[in-house]
Amino acid sequence: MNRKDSRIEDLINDPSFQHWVHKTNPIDVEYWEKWIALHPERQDVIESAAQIVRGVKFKPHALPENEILEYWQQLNQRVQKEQKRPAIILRTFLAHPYTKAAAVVLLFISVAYYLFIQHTSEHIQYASNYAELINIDLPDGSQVTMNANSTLDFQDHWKDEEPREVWLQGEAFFEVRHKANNQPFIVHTNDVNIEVLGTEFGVNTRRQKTQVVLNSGQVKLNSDKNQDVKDLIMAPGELIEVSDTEKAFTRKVVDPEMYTAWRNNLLIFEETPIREIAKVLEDNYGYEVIIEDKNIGEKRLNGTIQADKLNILLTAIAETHQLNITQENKKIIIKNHPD
Amino acid sequence: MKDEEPLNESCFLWEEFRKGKEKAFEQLYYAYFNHLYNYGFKLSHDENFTKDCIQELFFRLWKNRNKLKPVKSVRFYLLKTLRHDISRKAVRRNNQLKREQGFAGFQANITFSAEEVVIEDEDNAIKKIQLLNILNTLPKKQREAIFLKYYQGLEYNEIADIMAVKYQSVLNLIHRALKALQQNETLHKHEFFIIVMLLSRLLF
Repeated sequence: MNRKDSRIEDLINDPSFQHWVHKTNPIDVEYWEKWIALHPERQDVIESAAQIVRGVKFKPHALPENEILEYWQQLNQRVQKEQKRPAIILRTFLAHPYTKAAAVVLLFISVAYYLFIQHTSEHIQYASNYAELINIDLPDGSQVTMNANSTLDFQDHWKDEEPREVWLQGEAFFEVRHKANNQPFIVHTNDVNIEVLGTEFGVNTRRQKTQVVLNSGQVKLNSDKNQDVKDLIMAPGELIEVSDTEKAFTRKVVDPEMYTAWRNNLLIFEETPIREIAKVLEDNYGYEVIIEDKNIGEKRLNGTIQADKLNILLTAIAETHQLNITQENKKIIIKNHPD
Repeated sequence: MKDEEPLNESCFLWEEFRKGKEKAFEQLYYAYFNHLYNYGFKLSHDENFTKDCIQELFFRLWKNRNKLKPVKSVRFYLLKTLRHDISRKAVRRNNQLKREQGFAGFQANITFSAEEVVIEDEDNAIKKIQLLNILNTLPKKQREAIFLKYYQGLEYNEIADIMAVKYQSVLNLIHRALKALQQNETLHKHEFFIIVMLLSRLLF
């Protein structure tokens, strides 16, 4: 680009010029310092453009979230009411003889259109917030329940001759439909590729490792990162964990329900150390958990609680082990009871 | 608040909403409510009116979701629609305005409050008030351009579209406003210097 005839509007829209003004990229800073030294006649233009890029700083006013929640609920009521109406209109519309014929013709045209036009697939991503579960229908009818703070990526259309593929970051439970043509289904994570034919299993990719728990069916694991994990077949009730940082992979028999109870909004703890519970609070709910004493982290908890009743969980922990638990916004502090 | 949502995520939500996914619609509501409320309130100076306009806007969007097209910027689309709705309603409320200028005549009168302005020297209340005075006494069009660019984070061509002016006019408006603000700074530095000089004369 010939920068000699740069006008103000070219400069203000140039990302590298913006980086120079805000000093956010040393390469750009160096480039522009040199350019400005070489073109003293552009001094005025540079100054005006820099002034516009810097502009004015504002701190926009934000309403409290519970107020917005209230407004949303009011709107949602109207939306739900409106949803009920169209069905009636549709019925009477189709009942009319002429419209029935028209509907058939339209159907024929749209099917023909679909058959003759190339179906291009688009990239889809689902992302869940903290403390949020999302149910997803995949293009082949398979179901995914995605836990909080997770993302799932896939193409919205799968060809029969190619494997069905999804990419997961976080935690999800898959119910994969078996296809008559034995079309494989592959879940990609940072650490492994999980190939299934038709089955139910949970995948957790938190904390730089991937943990796969198989409920039913059969899966095959492959890892580019760990050579020992090659065409590794899992049986129901097994848990396998592949880590970015550790050489060996873990393999053990577990009760799969414990690891996938979150789908039904339950958290099941069986001799679970508090430091593990802390990780769940951090990964799925976005809290920062501070445990004052390492010994506290090793104390264990048994029980089943509803995943949306966190205060019951905290009370249970506090009372079982005589601990003092305080919460400040998104911070949870666990310490010994001053006895 | 300017860059809270990455561009592709909001476009993705918009597409999901067009398909009728209620969850996406809800997330759009939460993502843009503050943007719309701030703009609406600055245009109308009426809290309830603004809230009603936003509810109307979203309800209409929901009813017509099948007829909507994909958008490049959800923020721009929503802000522009809101401004259009408010100017129509405001003109209807104020018949005199209608007689004199018609719909195109609606000119936003945007003012800023002290809590919204950020300066480097946060503890300098006097400096803040000086800046605020200059800002709020700028010509109306300059104020709206500054608001849309630095408060709402819109692109220059989007601002030109919303304000129904040429692209170059947007640059001019912003440039003039910023110059006025800068002059205010140097002017007061100059005054301060003179005061110091006079004081030192008195003392020595």
